[in-house]
Amino acid sequence: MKNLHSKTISFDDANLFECILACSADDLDVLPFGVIGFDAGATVTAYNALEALMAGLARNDVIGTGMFEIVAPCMNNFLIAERFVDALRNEVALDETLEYVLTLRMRPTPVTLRLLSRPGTPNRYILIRRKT
Amino acid sequence: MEVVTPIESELQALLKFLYMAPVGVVQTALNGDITIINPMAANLLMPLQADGTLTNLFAALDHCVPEIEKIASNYTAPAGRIFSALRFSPFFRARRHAEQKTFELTLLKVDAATLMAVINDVTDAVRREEQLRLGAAWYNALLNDRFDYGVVGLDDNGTVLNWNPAMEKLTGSSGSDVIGKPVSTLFAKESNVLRSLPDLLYEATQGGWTLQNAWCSTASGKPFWASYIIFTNDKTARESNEQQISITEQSAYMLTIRDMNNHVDAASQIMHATYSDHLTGITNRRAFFDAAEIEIKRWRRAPRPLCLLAVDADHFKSINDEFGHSVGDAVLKALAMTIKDSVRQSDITARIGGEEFAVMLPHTDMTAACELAERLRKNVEALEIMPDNGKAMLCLTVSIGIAQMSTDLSDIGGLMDLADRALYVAKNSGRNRVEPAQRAP
Repeated sequence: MKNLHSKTISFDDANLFECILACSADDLDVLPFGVIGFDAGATVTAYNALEALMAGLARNDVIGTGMFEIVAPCMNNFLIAERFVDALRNEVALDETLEYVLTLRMRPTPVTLRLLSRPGTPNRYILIRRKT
Repeated sequence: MEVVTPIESELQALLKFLYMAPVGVVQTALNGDITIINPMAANLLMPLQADGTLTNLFAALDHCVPEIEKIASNYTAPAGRIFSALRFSPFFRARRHAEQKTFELTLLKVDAATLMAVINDVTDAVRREEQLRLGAAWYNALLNDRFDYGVVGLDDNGTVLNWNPAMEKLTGSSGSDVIGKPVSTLFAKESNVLRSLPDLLYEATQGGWTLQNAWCSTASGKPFWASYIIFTNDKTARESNEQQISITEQSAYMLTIRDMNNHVDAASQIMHATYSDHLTGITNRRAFFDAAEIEIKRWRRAPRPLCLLAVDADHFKSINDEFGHSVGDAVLKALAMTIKDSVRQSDITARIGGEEFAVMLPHTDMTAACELAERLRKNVEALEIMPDNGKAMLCLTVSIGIAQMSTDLSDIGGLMDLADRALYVAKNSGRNRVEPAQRAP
């Protein structure tokens, strides 16, 4: 029963930000795509089971650490990290989908990323869908 | 809870180590296909990719350092260092104008089937090194008296007050010929120092000194490439001692000059590598934006006509596809030389993307810029390029967008965007055209 909410969520949902925001940690764990949540100070607040499995990092080691320094140093550039900074500065919502390559377990892994933030809400998310 | 065996915990530690390594590390097959890559490498390489993919290292760097694939394939030893710390100025495909960086790449052959690359962003280090190197080169030269350095005293307007014997030797002009004349007579006419002198004196006043390179001319008209520093004389000291001191000390500025033709040393070679595009030898992207920023600053202080050309080779992709990359490279080299030969010495010509070039035209209004661009367009059209394989002669044309700096534009990025929009119009109107930009919206 507890996963009822998240089973209906898809990567392409228009209101994905609100859906993810409403999810509990358990809800996030059953999602078919990776979720990394972080706050305004870029500290990781959410890290779902699929992301932990794919990255090979334990969730407990990741929560509370620096998003772009420690968890996803491969995203610390103007394509990703700076977009969140710009959205915050300009007080606009961020909802960008882009093709990217991650280094999960040091393998080049093509993924689709969705970057989400809303003005006035500290939570921001990077959602990761592996290409099959 | 999950049970972690010692081996797994070690793997976790190793993974973390690679995740957080502040340098990019990539393992590839001999053909460059990426097998292992750490986050920093992806962080540095992804912004260079046009299509959001990253599967082959050589392809990923093709636009920045096209020669590395050849260098790697020519390396025949079973294992070893293919090259070390190769510096280049990356072209950012995803955002054209924002970043000017220097990356450093080292390539190793690990075994018969494996390469390993280390990639690093050395932008800050390079800037610091440049400052040190500039200082060191000058101090060495002055202390060791390795060359005869000319010293010239200038008044507030840049008129020559004093001329030392080394200047006579360097230029063949005696003091009596030049004292009382503007210092710009020392420089070759094409150097355009006459026009830029007020800027140089201003910059020397603001920063204490300014270091430049330019063509100078001897009394008989023989050109020589020179490096010179203009620095300010301490004004307070000058005024308080005015009665007792010599004319040299009364001068507002001092100019020290050295002939660089005979002093192409290791330091200047490294500087050249840092400032030049690997393929064409002309100014690279980073050096161009540095120089352009200086021109914009000058413009802001004292507005004067300032134009920018965005030059793009037409149908370049089809040349690459039809004739291969080595012909494509030869075409880019020929194009770079043609652009450089078509503009003036004081203009700044640079390769800022794969087949994209930019020319900054100081002291040039839109009418003059259009004339110059049209001459450039015709010179490219007249180029005769014969591919090595003896097939038909290659025809090359360029499209050119021109923008003029104005108060509507905030920075070089804005000027570049305006020139780009004009370039886009030139492309869409049939190519092989010059298109002046409309004023900024």
